[in-house]
Amino acid sequence: MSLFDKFERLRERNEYAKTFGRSPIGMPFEEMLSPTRARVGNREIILIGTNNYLGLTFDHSVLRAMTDAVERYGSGTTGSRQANGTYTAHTDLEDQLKAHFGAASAIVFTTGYQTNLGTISTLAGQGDHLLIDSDSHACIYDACRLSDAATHRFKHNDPENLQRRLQRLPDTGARLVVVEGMYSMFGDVAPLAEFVDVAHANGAMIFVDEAHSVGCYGPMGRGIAEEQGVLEQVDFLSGTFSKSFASVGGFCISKHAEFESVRLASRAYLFTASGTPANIAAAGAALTEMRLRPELRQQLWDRSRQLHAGLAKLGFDLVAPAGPVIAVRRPDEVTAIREWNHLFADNVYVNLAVPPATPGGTSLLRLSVSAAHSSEEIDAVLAAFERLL
Amino acid sequence: MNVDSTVFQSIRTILSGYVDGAHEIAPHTRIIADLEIDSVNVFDLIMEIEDANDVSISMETISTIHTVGELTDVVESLIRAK
Repeated sequence: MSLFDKFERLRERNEYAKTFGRSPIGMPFEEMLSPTRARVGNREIILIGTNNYLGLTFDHSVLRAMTDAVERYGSGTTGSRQANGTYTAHTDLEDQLKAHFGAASAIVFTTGYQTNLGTISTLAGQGDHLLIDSDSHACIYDACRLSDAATHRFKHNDPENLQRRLQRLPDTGARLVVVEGMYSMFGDVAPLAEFVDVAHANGAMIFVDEAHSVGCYGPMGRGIAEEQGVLEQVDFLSGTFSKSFASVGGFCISKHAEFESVRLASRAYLFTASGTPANIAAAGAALTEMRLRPELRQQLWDRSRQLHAGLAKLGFDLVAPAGPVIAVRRPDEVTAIREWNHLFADNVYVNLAVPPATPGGTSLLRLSVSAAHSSEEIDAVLAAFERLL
Repeated sequence: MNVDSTVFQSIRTILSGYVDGAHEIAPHTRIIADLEIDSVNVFDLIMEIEDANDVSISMETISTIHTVGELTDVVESLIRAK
């Protein structure tokens, strides 16, 4: 018996995927030519699976903020937030986030994963109750495992099902409902306003993960909570800097000033190095661009609608309406792997999403649209999908 | 546990909707290993059992349940605790 025996099935699946051509797992891009183009070997690939929703990874002001931060603060912080790893870059970004969301508190974490891990597991403790959507991201499930609270799942995007589960709980302990604004695999959106009503009517607070929706939804890009008019009612809102913010890191904001206490208790905040000055500065610059340039959101939505309509016209089975993520449902895993390889050979990179990473055992070709995509690039992607037929 | 109990009978009825008729459903039957119910269906199954008995089984408790008998014991104890 070896420690590595348990990975045998995963290894076999990975080797099997390689028999179709290139392995989709961790494929290296040799050079990034733009937010929507990369070089692999001697080929130029159109990227439409990178979560680069606002296309800011090569934005001049973002890059300038990064280089300025490196010159001012150096390459890394060499410490955690509570020790020597808090620079004014971090506190300035927290102030910027508070102002943008109208929040009483904002905490910046080193990654988006750590944000949910560090907040959810700390907020809900012994004797409390966590209620999570069944399609929650792995970091939410991991936060529940780390928490001492009892965890209950409710049916995906079903406020009535949540209501039933809340009503069955004992009167003891605090309650926290956790949902996502837009779900990353299918691109479907939560009925957040209904969830807020159900949570608050049953004595629970509500936490919404807007990792994929901040920057993309709402008049100011503040996510599904803003889009559905409940930003002021949501108790906690988290996000990541690794998508629309074109950097790495994460944040959680709250209307409750007491949220600041999480800094004193969250292990994912206390016991890890803080975000690099360059990453933090990039996130701040991206937030400014997000706020001042609503046309980025308009471009994103124009390209998304173009792509969604084109795929629908070709007869593909699309899981959700047009949005930053467009998921194409495939009949099985083998078809999805084969088509992913055909698309890559045709110079188009999409995400391959297969069980167990997907809800309901679904196999997907997952596309994420960028404001930086040109109409011609979307046409090229559609032509590649047409050649699959 | 008592195989004539209402809870066991209701769980057996619900489980039978997730497996073909060839499988025996007894207290010692292992839910995943013997009935070959995958993790996606386990979630739906647990939710149906919760709704039928008006109880809520936490994920932490679910991870400790292996057999139909253990599931019945958990549901019965949650009903008694109400």
